Amino acid sequence: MKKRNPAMVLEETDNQLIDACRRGETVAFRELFERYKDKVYSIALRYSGDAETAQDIAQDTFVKLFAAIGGFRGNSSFDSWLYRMVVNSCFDHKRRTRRFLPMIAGVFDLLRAPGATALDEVLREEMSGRVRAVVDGLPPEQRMVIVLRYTQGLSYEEIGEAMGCSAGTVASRLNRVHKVLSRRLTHLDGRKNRV
Amino acid sequence: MSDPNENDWIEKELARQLTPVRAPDSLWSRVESARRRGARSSSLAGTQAGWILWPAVAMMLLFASGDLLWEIGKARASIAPLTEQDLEAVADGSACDFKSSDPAQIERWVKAETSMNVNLSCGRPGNAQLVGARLIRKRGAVIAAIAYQVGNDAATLLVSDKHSLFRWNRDYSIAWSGSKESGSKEANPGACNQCHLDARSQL
Repeated sequence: MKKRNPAMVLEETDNQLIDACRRGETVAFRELFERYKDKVYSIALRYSGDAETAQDIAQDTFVKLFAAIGGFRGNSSFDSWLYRMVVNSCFDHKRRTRRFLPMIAGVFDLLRAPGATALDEVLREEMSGRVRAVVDGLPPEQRMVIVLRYTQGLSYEEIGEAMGCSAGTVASRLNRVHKVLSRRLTHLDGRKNRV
Repeated sequence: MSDPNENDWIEKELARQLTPVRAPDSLWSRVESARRRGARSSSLAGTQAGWILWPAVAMMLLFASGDLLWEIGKARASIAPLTEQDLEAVADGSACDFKSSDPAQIERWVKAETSMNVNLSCGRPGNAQLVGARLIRKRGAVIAAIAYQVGNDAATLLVSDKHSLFRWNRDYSIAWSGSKESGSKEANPGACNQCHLDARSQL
């Protein structure tokens, strides 16, 4: 078998990498993993809210991906195929564990901008806490929609493809989340632009 | 629809809270070891595990099908294997386990012996005369045979709780029991023949 140079692998397109993975080349697996690990882990973490669970989900996803890559025919993009796998792994894990952990950890550090006043910080904390409470209470499908939308910036069509539903369904789920958040945060009206 | 300005700050807040993160460096080693474990366990699944699982599945299927056959057998037993002798014996009033011409008494006796509700007191009186009742047991199924006379002819009403195999059979009418349809002429006219009509005219 031809030996692959890792430096050359970095130059390859996804399709070339996928072909190399089909041939069972470990270096290609590793490269594919490196390209997509942050996407997969981010979705898993934002969905599950727990680093250990997120690693389990990411691990499952890559194991399934490497086992099934021979069946990838390229009818859809590799990204869509991968997103479908992550979504399914997240839902499988949810079915097994039957609970959600808080979605966001260490969020306050992110929000603590330099130069922010004490009042700004208090408002941000309150706002973040309420957003987090709403998001943590969402049903799995709505939760996944907002994770794919705001963690990965996917379009409605891309989210629909990953979740096996229409773009219209995605739009209505997102709209529902926005309405719930808006309703819960009305008392902070007028201060939102400070957040 | 939501206010677009309101959505704007909500979207910003969600995007801020759901920022992507870097995967931990340990993830690759976890994936690799899981792949190796998976390769081992899938090869086991095809060999040793298969030998353990398949007999268990086969046993479960065997039990399930046996139970199904037993239920079918019980249901069929309610009518099909009744011999001519069984029926003649019932039609002969002397073979009754319980002799009475009172519908209410026979109803109570059948209820006490089989828990089945039989309605013999329905509607206008016909020319049928009750003789008595007897129980026939066939492979776990219980049939209440109610003997009566229509003129000079003997007839029998057979009642079982297995209504799925009920059918008309020569001089013998079969009725539902234990359900709303019990004794209903629409559901099964034979159920009412013992007190309403000449049984033979219906057969």
